[in-house]
Amino acid sequence: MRGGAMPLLMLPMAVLMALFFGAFAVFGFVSFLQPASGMPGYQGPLGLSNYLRFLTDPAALAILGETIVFAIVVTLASILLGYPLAYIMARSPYRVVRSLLLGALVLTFLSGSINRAYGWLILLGRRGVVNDALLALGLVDRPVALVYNWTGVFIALLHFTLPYFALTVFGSIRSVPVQVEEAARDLGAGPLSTFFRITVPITVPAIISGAALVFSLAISAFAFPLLLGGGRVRLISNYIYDQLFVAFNLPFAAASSTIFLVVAIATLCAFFWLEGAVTRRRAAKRGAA
Amino acid sequence: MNRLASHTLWTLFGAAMLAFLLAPTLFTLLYSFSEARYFSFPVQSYSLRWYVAFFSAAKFQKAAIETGLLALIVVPCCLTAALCTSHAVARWEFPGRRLVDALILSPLIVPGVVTGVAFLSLFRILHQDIGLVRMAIAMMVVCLPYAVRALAANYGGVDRSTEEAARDLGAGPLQAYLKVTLPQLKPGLLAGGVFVLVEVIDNFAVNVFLVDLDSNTLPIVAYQHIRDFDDPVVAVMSTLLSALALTLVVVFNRMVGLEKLSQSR
Repeated sequence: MRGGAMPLLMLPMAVLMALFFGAFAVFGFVSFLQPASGMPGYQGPLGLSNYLRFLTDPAALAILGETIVFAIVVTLASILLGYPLAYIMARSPYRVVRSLLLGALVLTFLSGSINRAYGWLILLGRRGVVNDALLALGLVDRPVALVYNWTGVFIALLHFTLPYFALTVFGSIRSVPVQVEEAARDLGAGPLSTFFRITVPITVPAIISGAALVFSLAISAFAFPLLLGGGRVRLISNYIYDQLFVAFNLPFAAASSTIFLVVAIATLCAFFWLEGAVTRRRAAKRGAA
Repeated sequence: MNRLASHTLWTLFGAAMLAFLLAPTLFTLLYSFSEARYFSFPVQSYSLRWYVAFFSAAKFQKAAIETGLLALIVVPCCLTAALCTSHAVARWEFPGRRLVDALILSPLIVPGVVTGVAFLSLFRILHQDIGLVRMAIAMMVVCLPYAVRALAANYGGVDRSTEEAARDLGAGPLQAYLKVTLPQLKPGLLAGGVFVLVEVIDNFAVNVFLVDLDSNTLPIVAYQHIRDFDDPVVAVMSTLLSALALTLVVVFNRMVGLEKLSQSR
């Protein structure tokens, strides 16, 4: 196709992006206004009061802080469980095992988040299967509270993020030639030391980008705390939703969203910086060697 | 001995992960076929009464139609926009190409609730209060990065010499594109289509701000139902959607192979 048609091809994307950034322009503007009485309307004068209110409210800051800590915990758990899972999927000598795990992972990845939150609600409830099993095994004498608290939200969210992480590192582990691992073993390294000193280090960039993905999913979790948190677990997304649909305060919701967006993008930039630093260091090492 | 122990450990871990991944889906399936209102395991007696309840509930019928309509609008539009974009990005050297790349992906990193509030503010100014229109626009923006990424991953593998050969043999640019290039993009189109479809059917965080009284999507109706009632009707919906996901997995695996899906994400 000739160069002349190219700008035309960018048009649909440009329209969609204009709507997206237009939405953010309006929303940024609204965040400096004041709520008007009645249904979520707004009025002047312009000012920073919404931002000041969020940044001086200990409850709001606590929710933001808890969201970040919770997202970090979910990310670490996804790495600890997801990496070995991806390793089995990439390296198991049995085709059946590889396809079964990959199939289950993709199926989980594609079945909706509300569905899965609901599934965990059934499994983890007071009279749920997990509690029945724990009681039958004699591990506990009375049902354990597994939902409507952090535990339930954590389990369901981990189930949601695990496929994203495992699928990201799976490709990377597969691209490590088996010969490299065999060479390490031939040189006398045990399986564990081959795993930790060869395979894991080679795939560090994929681990970081998978972790960034999981972290951004976890920090913006909304449906899982809504369904499994029972009002007790509120993450920043739930807080923003309440500002709009309980307090009917669109300007404050917009200001809270802006602060949240800045925090989310800053942490993602930190992940990308880390990934870049690791890659650069490795390139420098290779250059030296 | 050591080998055996490590082998056993890996097997146990794999089995545990398989159980963890599939447990919610499997127990939801059981619950949807149980006679009783409250879940107990093992299931005492099986029945289809909740399926009847699901299909005869007006709110679920309406939401299913609305969601289907939304998918019918968003999936083709989004894939077309992504095809145009990825072609231009892959074949056209222009200043600021990397910036465009980053711009297209930006909806991916913005938390869903923030996108929802932003679109709500925009539509309020535009006085657009038809839920379906609002959701269709928002979903196209949110899904564009998925489709572009899947296609961009595919474009790297497209053989340009066959396209040139077709041109040398007298095919026009459009003909060469449709007959030679487009068929090579099939894995990317399929992967992109699957991601967009799943996102449209499942999105909650953005759409919850954009629905109106006349249009409601399945996840939102399901949430309202779970909040107000305690019965397996939502288990039926979940099971049907899981069956759809399973069909997508099987079809995709047949046509291009599951491993392609993880590469193009």
